Amino acid sequence: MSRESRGGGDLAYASVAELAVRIRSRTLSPVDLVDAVLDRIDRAKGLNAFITVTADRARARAADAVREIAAGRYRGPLHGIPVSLKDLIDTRGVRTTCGSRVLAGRVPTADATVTARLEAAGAVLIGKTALHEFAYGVTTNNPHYGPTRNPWGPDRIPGGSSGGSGAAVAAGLGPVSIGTDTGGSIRIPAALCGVVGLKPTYGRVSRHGVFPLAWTLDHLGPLARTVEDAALVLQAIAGPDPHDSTTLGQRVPEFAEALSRPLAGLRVGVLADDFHQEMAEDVRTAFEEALAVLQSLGLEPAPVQFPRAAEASVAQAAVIMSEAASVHERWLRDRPGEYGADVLARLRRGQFLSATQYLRAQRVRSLVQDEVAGLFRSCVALVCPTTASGAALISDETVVIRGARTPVRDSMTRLTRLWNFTGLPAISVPCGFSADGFPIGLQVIGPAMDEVILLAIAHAFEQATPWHTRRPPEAAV
Amino acid sequence: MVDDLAQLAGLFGVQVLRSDLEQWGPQLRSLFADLERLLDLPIEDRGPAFLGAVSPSSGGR
Repeated sequence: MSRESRGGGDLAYASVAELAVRIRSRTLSPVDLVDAVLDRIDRAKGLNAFITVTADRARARAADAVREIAAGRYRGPLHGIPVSLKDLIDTRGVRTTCGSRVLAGRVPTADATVTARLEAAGAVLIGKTALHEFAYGVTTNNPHYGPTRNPWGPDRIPGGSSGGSGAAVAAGLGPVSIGTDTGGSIRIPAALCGVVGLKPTYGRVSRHGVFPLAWTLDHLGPLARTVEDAALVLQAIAGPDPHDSTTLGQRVPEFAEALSRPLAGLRVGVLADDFHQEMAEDVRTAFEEALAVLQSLGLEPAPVQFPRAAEASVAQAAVIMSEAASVHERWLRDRPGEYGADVLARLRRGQFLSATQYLRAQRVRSLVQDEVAGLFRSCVALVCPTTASGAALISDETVVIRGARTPVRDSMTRLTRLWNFTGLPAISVPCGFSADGFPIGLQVIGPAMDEVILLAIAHAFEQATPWHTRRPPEAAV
Repeated sequence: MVDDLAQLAGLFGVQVLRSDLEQWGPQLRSLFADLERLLDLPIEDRGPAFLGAVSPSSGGR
C-alpha cells in the first residue's frame, strides 16, 4: 500500500471527481483506493459508522474495475469509486439490518434499484452504514449496534438517521454514501458532520428495495464531500424505475453541467417566518454570514414567509406517525420486545391516530404544497440553516435554544421536515462552525424537480468558502 | 384521557403499559387538539396529497 493511502490524508479526502480523473488515466488503481479506505474503516471502528463492512466483495469488485478499465471499458465517474449504503437499502447477499434487532439476520435476495444502479456505474460497495433504528430518529444512538459518534468529537451525535453515512464521509471512510431522508435524515447528519447532503425531489430516485419509514415522505440521496460529487452520484441513481411508480414520467437533466449556471441577479428567498427563525445564536451567526456570501455571488436574498408552517408541521407529524405505525403494525403486535425504547414509543403513539386525522393531514399537505410552490414565482430557491443547533452530546435529550430547553429531535428536524412534507429538493452544504467547534449547515431548497438550481447555488457557495476543506481530527481514525 | 387510550388500545389489540399511556397522554392530547384546528384551514375542496411524483409546475403531487 502506498504511503499516501496508509497515511490516509490526501487520498482519503479526495473527491469523487478528483479520484475519477486518476482512475480513468490509470494513475490510481481502484484496488489501492479500496484498500486505503478499508484500512481507514478498520482504524476508525471507534466511530461505529458501519454495521457491515464488505471487504472481500469490495476488493473483488475493485479488481474487476481494474480489469475493465485496462480493457478500455471505463463506465464513468463512479467506476472504481468506493461507496457505502445506509443499512436499510437492500444488497443482494449482504445482510441489511435496518439498524434493528427485528431484521438483524435478514439477507436480501435482490438489490434495491439504487444499489443496482451504483453497481452498473461501476461503484464499489464497501459496506452498510449505521442508522437510527428503522431510520426513526435523529441521533443514531442505536440500542442494538451502539451509538455512532461524530468524527468532530466522539462525545457528540453525528445526527441521523443516516448518521453512519455522515460520519463515514466526514472521516474519509469513502467519498460518498447513500442515505435516506424522511424528515431530514440525509441533511441533518451532513450538517452535523460537515459534509454535503442532498435530498432530491420526491420521486426523483427510486425507493424500490429500501425499507420504508413513511412511504409518502421517504427520499434517497447522496452524502458526499462536495456538491459536484453529490451531482455525480445523483446522476447515477436518478430516473424512472418501473418498480416505483412515483419515479415515472420524469426527465433527468445533466446535473454536473448545471454547476456552472450563472446566478447573478437571481433572487433567493430567506425563510423569515417565526417557525424558521427558531435557532441557536451560533447557527444564526453562521447563517447570516452565509447570506453575505450569497450576496457577494450576485444572488439577491429577500425575506419570504413559509405559509402555515406550524400547521404544516402538525400535519407532517401525523403523516409520519401514521405511516410508520402502519409499516410496523404486525411486528408491534408480535415482536414489541425487539424494538428499542424510543422507537417503540414513537411507533406506539402513531397507532392512536385515526384514519380521518391522517387524511386531514394529507389534505392540508395538498394545500401547503400549492402555497409553497407559489413562493418560487418570486425567487429561484429558498435558504435557511439545516439544523437549529449543532451536534448535541450523545447523552443529551434536549438542547438550549435562545434560553429554552428544546428536544434534540425538534431542534434537528425543525428546519428540514417540511421539505419532506412538500417533497421539494433540498441540499445541505457546510457553512461554518458552532461556538464549540462543530459544523453547521446551510440548506438550499429548490422548486420541484429542479435540483439543478440548488446544486448551482450550493456549488457556488462551496467554492467561495473554505468550510468543505476542513477535516475532523485524525484522532477519530 | 388515559382510560380512553387504554380502551382504544384494547379495541386495536395493542398491548401497551398503562404507565406508557400516562406518559403519552399529554402529548397525544396536544397533537389531537392541533389536528382538530387543521379543520379551520381551507381544505374543504381538497383531496389528500398521496403517492405520486411531485409536479414541476404546481409543486403538488
